Amino acid sequence: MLANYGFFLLFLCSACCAYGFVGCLAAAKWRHRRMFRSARLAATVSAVLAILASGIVWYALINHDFSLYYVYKNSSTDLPFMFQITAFWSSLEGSHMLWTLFLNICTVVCLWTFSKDNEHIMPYVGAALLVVLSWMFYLACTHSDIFAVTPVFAAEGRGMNTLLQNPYMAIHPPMLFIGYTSLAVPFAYSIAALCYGDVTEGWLKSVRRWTLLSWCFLTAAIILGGRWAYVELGWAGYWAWDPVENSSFLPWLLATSLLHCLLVQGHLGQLKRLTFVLAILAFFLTFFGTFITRSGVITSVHSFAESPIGPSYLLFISGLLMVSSLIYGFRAHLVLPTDTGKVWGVSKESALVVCLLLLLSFASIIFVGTIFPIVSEALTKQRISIQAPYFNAFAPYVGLGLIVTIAVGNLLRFQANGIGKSRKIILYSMLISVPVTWLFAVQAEIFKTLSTFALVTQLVGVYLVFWCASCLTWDLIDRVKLVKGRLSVFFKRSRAFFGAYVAHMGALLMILGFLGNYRGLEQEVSLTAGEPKSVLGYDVTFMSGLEVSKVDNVRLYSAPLEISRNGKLVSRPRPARSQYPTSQDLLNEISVDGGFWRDIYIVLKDFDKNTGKNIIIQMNINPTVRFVWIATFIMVIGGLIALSDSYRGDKTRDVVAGKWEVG
Amino acid sequence: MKAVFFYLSLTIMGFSALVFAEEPKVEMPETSEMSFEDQTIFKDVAGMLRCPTCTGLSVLDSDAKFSLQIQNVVKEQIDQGKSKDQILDFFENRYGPWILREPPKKGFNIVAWIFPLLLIILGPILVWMLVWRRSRDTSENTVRSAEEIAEEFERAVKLTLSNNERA
Repeated sequence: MLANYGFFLLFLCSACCAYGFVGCLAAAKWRHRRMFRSARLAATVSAVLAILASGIVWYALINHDFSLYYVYKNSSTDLPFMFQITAFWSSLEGSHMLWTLFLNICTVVCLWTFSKDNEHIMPYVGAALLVVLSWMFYLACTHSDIFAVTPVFAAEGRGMNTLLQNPYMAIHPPMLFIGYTSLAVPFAYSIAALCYGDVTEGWLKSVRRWTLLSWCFLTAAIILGGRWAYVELGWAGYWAWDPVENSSFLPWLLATSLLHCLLVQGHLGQLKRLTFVLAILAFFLTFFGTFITRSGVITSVHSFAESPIGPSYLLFISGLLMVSSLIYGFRAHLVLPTDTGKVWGVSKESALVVCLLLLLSFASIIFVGTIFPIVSEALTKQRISIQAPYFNAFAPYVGLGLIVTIAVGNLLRFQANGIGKSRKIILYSMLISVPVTWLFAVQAEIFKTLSTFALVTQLVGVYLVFWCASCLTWDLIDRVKLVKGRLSVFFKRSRAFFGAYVAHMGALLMILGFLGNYRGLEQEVSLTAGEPKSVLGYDVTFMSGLEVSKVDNVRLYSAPLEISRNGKLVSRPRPARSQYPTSQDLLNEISVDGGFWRDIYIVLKDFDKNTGKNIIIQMNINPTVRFVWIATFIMVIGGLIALSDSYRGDKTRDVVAGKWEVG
Repeated sequence: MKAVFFYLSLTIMGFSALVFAEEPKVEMPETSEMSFEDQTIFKDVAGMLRCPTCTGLSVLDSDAKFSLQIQNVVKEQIDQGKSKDQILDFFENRYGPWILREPPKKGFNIVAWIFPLLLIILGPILVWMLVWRRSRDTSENTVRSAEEIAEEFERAVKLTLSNNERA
């Protein structure tokens, strides 16, 4: 019964969005204000209906209504409440639904909160968003129907994928989807600007806000996904250059480039067309990512089983690319020229272009590395793999290049010609960073790295990071001095700059974390209760014996350990294996402990089932992993500070442009 | 600017000299029967082979049954005294290039390796052609003259109008 209501709601949604799309086109053609308002209302109604439909799914999940196939497939009666909620997005149909819901909400927010001088392009924006949305709802009704019915009566569901029963997996997908869907708005604005022929102050403001919002969510979501892999999968790493990881990283790279490109456009009015291209590509890549996840083109640990939705997605992303290229091809040369001349030379805008070059090169290397196996197999009939070693061969150089660009670029000024007084900052920072690097290298035990090449890369990298951080901080102090140290004035006027400073420092800290983690030590040992053993320089004791406990729906077999170094207690980890009621296999419950500088990462590999006195553990010493998690926080906070910048959001600078012909 | 880069490279060079002077200490797990050299070879080889049943992971990182079997074969071959390349060749002959985690640098697959290098070489040239080379003349205040802007706007408007007429 519920299923019918839900399906009907989704059907209404797709009808509303289709109407909204046609309405927006008509409003754009005849410059008809009431038509646009009607279309916007249709989008809003659709959002309300989509929220209701999601409510029905949640209702069914919480009440264990196994007559819905999706509920039967992804939940069971013993599931803790939190995972009953998150079961919504634990499989294909649900995550499609969640994505569509977020896209609809973004569309509505975008159509109601435009600035005054954008009013004339809003019909185009609405049309671009609603055509995507109609397609998504059409898919939700046909190929990816969350309200499909179980053919036979079932008293118990199949249960949720045990790997996904983890708090990180509960919040990673929604955050990623918010990041993806808010990238739709810059795309729509770009299409609108191309159709209309120019951009306004308000255009920049809106696009910057949505891109920043998306950037914050994507940053957090990607690292949360990594964190999930780190604590759940047990191979002691958080990033494997897996195709699906890559396809979440690509939109992030594009969003980052878009932000930097907007900076040039905001200050000089240059690079308008590049901004459009980047926004369109960023949006395209979010769907490319979904296509990869959904279609099973590339098999991956994240891929849901092959589904009929694959070809539809291919049709959609190729259509998207084709229509966008057509609009760009026919309209790009008509975009009005800017009123400031190009200066380039040794100035901030040049540094930003170099930064764009690096980010986009990185993105294209990752893109090629991800799709090359398919292309190669199609052309040569021979299967090949492209995995981490390929990407790791290039990533460090891009990273080092970016560090240098960040430092020099921040010291340069717009439309300057030459580096000016900053030479002093660069040189002194070089001196300051030598002792700091030394200190870091000793603390993070970098000299224990085995290969010389890796060691040199690490040290050069760490040195550059500290040099860059020093340059940035020096520049910040100089800017505060410029307003005579009045912090209130500084934070009122330069909040965006300060946000960028925080985000860049976060990025540097993250790179520091990557560099420190070059060397991972791993050892597998068997332990007997009560007998201490020396592992990787630590004394590990398996205390009394295996303990069995029951938490929620899980039976836990945990091994209490005590780890000490030179007689001093370091930590008391409890690695465990867990048994879920729906699965025969035992799952790793990894213990991650240690300290600020290194994680002691312990996986309980096996245990003696009869006595519980003998266990086999795998122990990893992972330096500076914690830096990466802390850095994520800092980066997101930086993004949020920049987002809160009220200086650019000043409504008095809005100009009412473009008139409606029909009121 | 040149001077800056000179100092920068000088510092880095000096710094790396400092690094080489420090003998990297070696920390070795004790429980394994393999010698240190053999263990390095094992880690290198197992790190270069993909786990056939999982994605993204190497044989070294994975606990899948298939991976453990491959690990044993690698260990056997190291015991027989084979070199790293010989073992990798053995696996490539047996399973095809698919088993290697990066594509072999021959045939069509070389494209995957050349592409990033091309980007590094052609990228800057492209940027120079698109951006720097087309820079227009500017007045001292780096603002173009009003007449020039007016002319350009007029051209753009005419172009739009003629386009609209055609449409």
